[in-house]
Amino acid sequence: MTQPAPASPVYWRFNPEVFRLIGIKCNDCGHISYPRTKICHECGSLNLEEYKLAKKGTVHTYCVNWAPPPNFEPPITPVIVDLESGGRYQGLMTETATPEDVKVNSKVEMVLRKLTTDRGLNVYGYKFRLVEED
Amino acid sequence: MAGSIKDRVAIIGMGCTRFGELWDKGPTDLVVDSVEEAYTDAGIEAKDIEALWGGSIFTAHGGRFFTEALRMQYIPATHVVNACASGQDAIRNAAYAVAAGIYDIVLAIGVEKIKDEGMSGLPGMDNRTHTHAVATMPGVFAIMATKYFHRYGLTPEEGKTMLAKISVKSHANGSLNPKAHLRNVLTIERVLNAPIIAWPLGLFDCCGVSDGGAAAILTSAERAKEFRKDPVYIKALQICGTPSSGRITTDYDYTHVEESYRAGAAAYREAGVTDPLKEISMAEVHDCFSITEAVTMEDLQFSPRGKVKDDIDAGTFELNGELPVQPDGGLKCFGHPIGASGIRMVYELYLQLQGRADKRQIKDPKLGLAHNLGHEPYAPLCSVCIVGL
Ligand SMILES: [Zn+2]
Repeated sequence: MTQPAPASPVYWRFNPEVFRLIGIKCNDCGHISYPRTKICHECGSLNLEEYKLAKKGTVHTYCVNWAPPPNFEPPITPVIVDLESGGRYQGLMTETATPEDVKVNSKVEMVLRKLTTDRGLNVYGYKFRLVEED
Repeated sequence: MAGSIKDRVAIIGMGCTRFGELWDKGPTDLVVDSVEEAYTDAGIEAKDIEALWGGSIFTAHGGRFFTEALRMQYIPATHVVNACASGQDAIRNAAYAVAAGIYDIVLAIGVEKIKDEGMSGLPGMDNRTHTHAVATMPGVFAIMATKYFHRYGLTPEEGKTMLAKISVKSHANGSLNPKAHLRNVLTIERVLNAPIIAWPLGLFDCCGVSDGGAAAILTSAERAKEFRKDPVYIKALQICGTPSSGRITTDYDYTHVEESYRAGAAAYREAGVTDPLKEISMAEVHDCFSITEAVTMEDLQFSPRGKVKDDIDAGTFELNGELPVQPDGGLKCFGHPIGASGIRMVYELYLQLQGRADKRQIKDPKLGLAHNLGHEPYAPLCSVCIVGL
């Protein structure tokens, strides 16, 4: 699968979703989806509104990938994060001393980082870092 | 549902190439070699085929690829693209055309010349805009293993040992199969000590990367015995598409695949199976990774939820067990030339049902199940095919 170039229209269309964390909330049943859907997953309604997601959440699951996609340096730690606002985000960990610091149920928060360099252009997006728990 | 495919269509001939890094074979070779074996097996000639359906993701571009390779003379040809279920969906479309009474003899074929694609593993298909960087195929299945271990209280060592036994079993079967790509016998220690690909999955938790082709010739149940005394009948053909719930909702648990469960349940209804563990004699399931096979045993109702480890430890799925799984060696030993895999699975069930599986022969099988899982576990397309005598 060819990756779209970083300056291509697909990135522009994804901007609200990727950088402003806009998901959708169903006005009929309250279901929250991220990434956005055109039709409510739960009830089939088209009556949806934009819904801004929280930047904090909990690690649902993860792996430590030593053979990552092109343009990523191994190892990467992909995480599936259930956000406090509802919605689920697939992203990468950052600022961990070792990948073993990440656990199921770890509390994490999003920070804007350079994700990779692709065809000479920087690609930015959110990564997750561990939140100190007291 | 208005109808059922059960016992309306029969397989009268099949062929399958050796799978492997077939540097000296091109896509046309894989098509012709598998189809010629199927013609011979069925006792028919190319001119008897009235229509064909061909499954492939990378290698074919339109039905023309298949008619050109086979020098088919102006017959209808359709290219089926449906992820890892492409091969089974080719069989499904071909079977439906026969059941509808449109054709008498049709060809379903699957092929993939992966080694011409310059890949050392299948790419993630979900990487648009880099935000889903989790998505290498080992990565998206590794996150299932992490969650499965956590949910059911397995330490990483216990979980990885459970998975290692799956790969050891499949290689034991594959070692008996001259058409398998990987025929080495593994030990649990070797699996556990292999390099990590995407923790918790190591090298031997991942299937091979191989070229291959497989083909099936189908006719109506009424005509089947004109061609052979032991045709294999189609009992169920189900495909379950996904609303992609695992990607967008927090309900999905990453420890099961809903689409596998639903495709299986629908196939059992169609085939009239009420106790899968007792009634299914053998299964070829989509073991792209060891964790996939583990979870699939639960999704297909062979093991209770969270309990597959007990059945693995008991040897239930070994060649001499209660329900042999991957008797031919599975994706683990055949690799995953995507379009070919689903038909390769049915080829093994077909040989077993006819008593032609040589050293791998299962005693007196009645029903065999083949299962494919396409895309990622949180948003897959799954197929289940049941065949029997
Ligand atoms: Zn709704």
